Amino acid sequence: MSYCTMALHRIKIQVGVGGFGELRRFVAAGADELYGGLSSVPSHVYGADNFSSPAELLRAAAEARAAGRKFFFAANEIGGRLLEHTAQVIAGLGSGVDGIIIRDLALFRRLAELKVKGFYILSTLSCCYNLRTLALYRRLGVRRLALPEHLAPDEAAGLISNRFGVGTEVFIKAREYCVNANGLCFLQFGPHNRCYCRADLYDGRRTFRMPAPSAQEQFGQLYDFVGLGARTIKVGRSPKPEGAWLVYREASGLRGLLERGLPRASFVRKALRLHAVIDKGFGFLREKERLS
Amino acid sequence: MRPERAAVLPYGLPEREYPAFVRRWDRVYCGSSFCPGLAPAAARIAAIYRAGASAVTVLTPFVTDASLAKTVKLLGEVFRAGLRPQISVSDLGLLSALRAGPCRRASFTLGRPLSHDFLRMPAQFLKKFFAENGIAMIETDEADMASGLSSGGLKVAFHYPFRYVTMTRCCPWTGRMGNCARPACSGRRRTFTASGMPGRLLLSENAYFFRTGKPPIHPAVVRTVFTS
Repeated sequence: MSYCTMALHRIKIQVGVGGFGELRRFVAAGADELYGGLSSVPSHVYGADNFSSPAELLRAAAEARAAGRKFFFAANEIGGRLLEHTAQVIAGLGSGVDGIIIRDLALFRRLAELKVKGFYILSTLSCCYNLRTLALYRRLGVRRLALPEHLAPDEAAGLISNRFGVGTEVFIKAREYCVNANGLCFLQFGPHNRCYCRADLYDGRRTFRMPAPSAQEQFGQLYDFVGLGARTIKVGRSPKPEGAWLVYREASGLRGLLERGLPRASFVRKALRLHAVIDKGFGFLREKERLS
Repeated sequence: MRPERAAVLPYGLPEREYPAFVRRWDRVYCGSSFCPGLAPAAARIAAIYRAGASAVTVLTPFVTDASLAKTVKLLGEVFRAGLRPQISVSDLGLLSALRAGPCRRASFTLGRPLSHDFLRMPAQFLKKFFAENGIAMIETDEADMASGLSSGGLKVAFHYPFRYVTMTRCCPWTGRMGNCARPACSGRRRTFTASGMPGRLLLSENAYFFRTGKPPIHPAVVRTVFTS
């Protein structure tokens, strides 16, 4: 199925930051929304930096707001042990942040018990694949949904055009895409926590790679998601600031293309060209790392 | 007390072989916790009962809007026919739809892979959530999590001898995204090795598993579920 963007919509970019340096860089580059985590609160991030205390996070939020941007707090991987601590941190942040990114149903319930209200973004990790699930989370205060990465646009149409007034966001396609279902994958092993989803697997006769849609398909999907009404492109946090910057540049370029209202095929063609340029940037970074 | 012994009915097992299979177990599981394309037809569920099964659990996966409607329709048909299988739900929206619709009095279990997160939530929250939603037990294959549960309250259905590792909605058998009308895997499996990976990875349906040992002996484990 193909969807036309129809109108020239303003598309927001939301980007994860690990410190003030990144925050200032992305604000200067035109990011609309930023989000960050705290070292004491798990937030499903591998190797990237976090803010060290709630006070520091609030300072970052104040700086983003002073520049006319929004700032969210990511608290989307809470186990039982840290639930109460996380709920208290969120209660303490109050209106100092613009919203909270949450996965766990238990945390939503606890915040409701504490009568803490806020703008909640339902994490992709919550695996909200249907309207009925969204309705359940809406009742718990969710105002925006980060769409699961493994949902195709025609499957997400109902979620995007939901009648609850819940907005939707999509992770930047082709660049930040998990081969397996995000939040349901435990395929990382070894001292460096290596992810095996893109590894060559061998079945005794031939090699096998876990399948994923091509970059071309994913850019087509991004076009369709925006055409359906998703208005925010999300860029995840990265352990390497240079890498995060490159991904942001790609997101920014894609936004430019989407806002031009190009036909789908033309958008995909140009997006692939941009993707190749950013790939070269990553190649350069790898080479630089190797030499150092 | 001895845990209830259950087994997953192999996909594609001919109906004439159901009685022999059913005789060996206290309970029969059918369907899939991972792929909506492997949902059993109502006729298949009825055939399991006809073969002599006294207790049946139907596994269900995460569902899109379209799959949710299909699953509610299927289970509605089963319940209207007077059959009362237990339903293993892996999707909160599906649980809500079934409880609001034709299966409001059904017994539910919280299926893999949803249970991975839920097992890590506070026991007090889980007990309340289970009581509110008619959930009898939680399905898992994590021996350490099951053994770590306090013996008061939560009940576990323990799956063995394969432990869930990851799943995809991009079908490993066709490379296509989304739900397939007719499952391409047809019960086939593949095993893989990779340098540095701790063990052989089994591909079954649209999910990957590692082989594990026997189920833990623990008061919370009230059911064991064997997959051949």
